[in-house]
Amino acid sequence: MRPILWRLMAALVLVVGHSNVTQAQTGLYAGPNPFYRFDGIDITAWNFTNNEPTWCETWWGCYYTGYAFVDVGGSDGFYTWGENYDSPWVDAYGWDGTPGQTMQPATYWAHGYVHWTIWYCVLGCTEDYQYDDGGWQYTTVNPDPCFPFPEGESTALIQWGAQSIPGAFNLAGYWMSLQNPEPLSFSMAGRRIREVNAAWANPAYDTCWFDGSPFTQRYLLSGADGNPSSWSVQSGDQWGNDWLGWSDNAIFHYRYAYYRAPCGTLVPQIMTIQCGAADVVYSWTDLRLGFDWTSVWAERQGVFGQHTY
Amino acid sequence: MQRSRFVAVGLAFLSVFTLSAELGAQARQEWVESARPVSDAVDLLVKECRCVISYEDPRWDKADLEDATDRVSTTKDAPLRIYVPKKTGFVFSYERPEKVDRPEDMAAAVTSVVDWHRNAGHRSDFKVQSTSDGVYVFPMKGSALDVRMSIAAQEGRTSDMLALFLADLKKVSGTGLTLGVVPWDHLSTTKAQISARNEPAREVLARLLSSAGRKVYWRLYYDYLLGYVLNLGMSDPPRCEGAVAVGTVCNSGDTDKAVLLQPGRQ
Repeated sequence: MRPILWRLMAALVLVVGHSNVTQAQTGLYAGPNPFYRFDGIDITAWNFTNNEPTWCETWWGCYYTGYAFVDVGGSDGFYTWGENYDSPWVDAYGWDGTPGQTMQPATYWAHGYVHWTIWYCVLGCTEDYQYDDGGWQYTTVNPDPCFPFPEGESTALIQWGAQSIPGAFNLAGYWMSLQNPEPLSFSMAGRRIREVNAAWANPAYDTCWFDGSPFTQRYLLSGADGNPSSWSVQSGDQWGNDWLGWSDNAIFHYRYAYYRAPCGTLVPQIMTIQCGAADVVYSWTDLRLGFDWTSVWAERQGVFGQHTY
Repeated sequence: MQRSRFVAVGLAFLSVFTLSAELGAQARQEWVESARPVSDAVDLLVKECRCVISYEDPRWDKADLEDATDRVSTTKDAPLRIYVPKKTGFVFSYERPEKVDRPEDMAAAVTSVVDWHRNAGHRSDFKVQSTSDGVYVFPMKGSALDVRMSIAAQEGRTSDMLALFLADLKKVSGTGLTLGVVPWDHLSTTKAQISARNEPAREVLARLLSSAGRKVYWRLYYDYLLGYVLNLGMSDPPRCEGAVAVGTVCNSGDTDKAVLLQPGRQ
């Protein structure tokens, strides 16, 4: 059937008094940022030519099949008309239409060619008609790079002593689990975690240090002037190791050469997670690192560990 | 005597301060006073330029040290006396470059610090060397990193390469460097290269640290008891300045330049 005839039929439907005419569209409708967690994505079909109301006032009694390289997660598996999916993720499909991996809305653009074959009915569905838009539509959507966003993290002290680092028997190795407010299928894996210095100024938290000490002050992250190491979030939204503590040399000499024990330092730490190209703050914590004459301790987010040394 | 010296220093400070007003918008004046004033002055420059400026102590002799036992020790009956470099101070001024694209751009400012220190009549004296990896301040009379070394080219975890460097330095010079405060996470998560063909240890270490991608400087401090202690710091760390709330975007410094060993568990 030729397109001009469809329009005539659609006009007929309107004329006979049906209300709530839904605009049928061919193409992939994407909101300003459909992958933003609070947005939905609404796949609809519309008439590209003139946006005029088309063949069915509602899709009751009508159906269609759709075929696209993107589908909206959270759907019932069908390209059902008019569904508003409150869902932020996209299932990628290969060119042959087979499902691929779930695309995380963090690192790339979801885009696809959309080809709709719409079956519609008129006049009480006594007759089915098929409309093929005759070509590929294209749309580009920009996923929210911050989704999911951690609400914080829990901390676990895993081990003492970094085998891989010389003179680091007294470092405490922490692993963290990000608190993900979304369902398990929304992973943060692969995103970058960073520790960031809260200040450049010396807040004089290092009570071991003294003017003339051969060790530089410890009041910034992992070094005299702060160490902004980065990690990648692993499966289960975990990241680590975060090594905290004093070198064996520093402990030994502050104890036995300078008689400074007990002493320690406090390091304000800001945690960030990658959102696209940016690093966005999700948590604050204070690190407390110290020792006395017989033991060494570390504390991160209230998780305290102590061992004899 | 002490009072007149204080007045003289004060006048000198004021005269420099006055002079600074004529030096233009890019001029800076600072006063530093500590056991290691040149190192502290260099720290100020690093914070401004976020570039690599390293510093090495002279091998202090007795005349440079003072007994600081009462000030330092938390124990009343310390069995050993504690000696640290005497506290000294000097005022310095320098021209701040408008742009710092290369470490060499800071060489003039660093030289100015060393000149001001020398002109203030201190016992220790320093020289400045700049390379494509950074600017280096080290003692005129020799440093632990002056020795020449040769090492076959290798690549691996930065902490391993650093350990290799320290072992080789001890072998060729007999001088051991104690590892002080260092950025553990950076050293354990990045990879670096080491190689040397009869080159000064200073250049070998600079190249090693630079090959891990980020701007890392050293503070090589000499202690009469421990010998040399090697501290490492980051010139351009990520930072969140001012009031920081959840959702704030932070400056990531030069973190992206790190040459990571591998993502994940180390």
